[in-house]
Amino acid sequence: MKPTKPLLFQIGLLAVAGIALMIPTPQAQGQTLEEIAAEMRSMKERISELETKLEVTESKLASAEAKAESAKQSADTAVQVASTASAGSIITDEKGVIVNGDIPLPVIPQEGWWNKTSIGGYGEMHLTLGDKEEIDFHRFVLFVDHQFDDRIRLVTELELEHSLAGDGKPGEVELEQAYVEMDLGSGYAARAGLFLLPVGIINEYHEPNTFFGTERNFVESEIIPTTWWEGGVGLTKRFDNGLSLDLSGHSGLDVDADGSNAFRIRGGRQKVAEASAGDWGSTLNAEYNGIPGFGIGGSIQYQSDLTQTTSPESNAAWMAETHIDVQMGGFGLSALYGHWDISGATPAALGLAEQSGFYIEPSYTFNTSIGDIGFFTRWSKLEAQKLDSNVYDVGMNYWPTENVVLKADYTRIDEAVDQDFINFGVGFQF
Amino acid sequence: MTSRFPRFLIIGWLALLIGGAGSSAYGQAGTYLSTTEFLAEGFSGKGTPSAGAYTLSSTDQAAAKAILGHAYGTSRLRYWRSGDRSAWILEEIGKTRPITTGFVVDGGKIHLVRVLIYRESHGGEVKNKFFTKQFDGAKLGSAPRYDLSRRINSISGATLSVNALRKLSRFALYLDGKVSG
Repeated sequence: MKPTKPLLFQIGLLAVAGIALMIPTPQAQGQTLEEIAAEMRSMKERISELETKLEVTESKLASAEAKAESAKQSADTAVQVASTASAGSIITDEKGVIVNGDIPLPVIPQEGWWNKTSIGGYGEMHLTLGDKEEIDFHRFVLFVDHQFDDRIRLVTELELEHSLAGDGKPGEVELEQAYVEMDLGSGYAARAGLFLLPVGIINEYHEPNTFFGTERNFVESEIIPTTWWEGGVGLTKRFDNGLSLDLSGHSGLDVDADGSNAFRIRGGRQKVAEASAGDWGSTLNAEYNGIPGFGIGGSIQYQSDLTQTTSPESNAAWMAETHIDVQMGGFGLSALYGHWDISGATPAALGLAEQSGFYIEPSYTFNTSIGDIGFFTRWSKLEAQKLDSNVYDVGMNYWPTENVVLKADYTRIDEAVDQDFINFGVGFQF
Repeated sequence: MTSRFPRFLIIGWLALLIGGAGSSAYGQAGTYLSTTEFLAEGFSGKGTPSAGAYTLSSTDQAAAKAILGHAYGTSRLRYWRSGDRSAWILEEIGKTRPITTGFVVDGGKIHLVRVLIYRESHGGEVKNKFFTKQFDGAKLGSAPRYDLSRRINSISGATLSVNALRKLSRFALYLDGKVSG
């Protein structure tokens, strides 16, 4: 290790100066010996200081070089580790040279919340003509999901219904989903929070581009009060043969015991908004999707008192539904039957102890050069609090691209209601 | 007011846990297959494939827009090849998260489809072989629609994941055509 040039120069200059002072010159001859000795002591002290500085400088330089060497060794180790890692999926060319470690797989970066949080949504606007004339941006929904780690995720869905919310306004802002789900291994996943109940065909999956008809069918509105969410916990088990089972315990409905909405199922949704939690519900759901294009499933639900004990009698209730959802080539067939059985003298006296409904919906979808065009017809029959009628629908969906749909259909509600509607809709998902 | 949380719910949970323990099952999200396992299955009996990189041109990205509805997220893709067989690992979002899927194309037809990583909370049925085997033998139609030669039946409740795999299969066939041409 060598001292720096400026330092050497300073030392040399002082040494030369010192020697020059020791030579008796005409000027020196005029100085006393004591003065010369004092100057020499001062020069020695100065040289000593410079030597000390030189030692410190050399020490610092040695430390820096050691650090640089250490960093280089770490870098070499990292390169070796990286090489070993890429060799974990060894693909070689004909000469045995590893060739697959140079280009990273297109995996999602795991650092940063922006890589773990995703958004999506859907919306639909309806125009109704006939016995009701109305245009309504029925719903706009935003999903925000977050992946905490490989096992735990958050699922949320926030909805604005009927475009305008507030006092005296027709719409609402609703939290439709907000739950944490955890994979437990061996096919199990547990969830807790506010979630859509796994009942029926469209309660969980109701993006407008995934079903026929501008409006959702009446059976999955009055018998299964779609969109139906509750707060609670759930456990799902999925088998690799396409069977899945789900069991959840959750807040219950709170239907009116009297008045015009007495024992109307749809009217009992509390939406987990400071909801009564005296009488809980539990739902068991089974789905089989082991044959592509063919799904069959059903649900059973029990609630100890559908009126949350506000009436003097107990109104325990059972709900059962079963459904099929077929999509083979262009042919489609959806069908569902749902039934409520409510105990107690009051619903029996009102003729509402049993409420039920079914629908059957055949369809056919053509692939065309301008997108998919599907035609459907649906027959629904309800014996429900608000609707005791046959309902007929016929219409079409046009998907210019899979996430955008235009709809047009005709609805006829028979019997006492005796109403006709022509509906047009536009829906999207992103 | 006494909370009447149904006791049979607890019993049912226990029955579900005990009855299902040890049976063949899968969770929704997770890594199901490594790249090595996928390639080993895809090139079984075909010798060791060589790896290469394919850079998407503007023409390719235009095709990606026609097939996927958007340009592909990266411009450089790794692929593996042996003879007329090529393998691609691609990603597309189902509902909100990407599904990492491997495709093996042989002679212009889908030979194998495997989901490597599934991240969505619903729709994981697409990873099952009863679904992916529908793609076997499918070919790609001509531009500008690039349709699959066969219809892939959907799975109830998994429509968006099914759509993602349908699109990726078409893109894999397109890419195979580029490196095989």
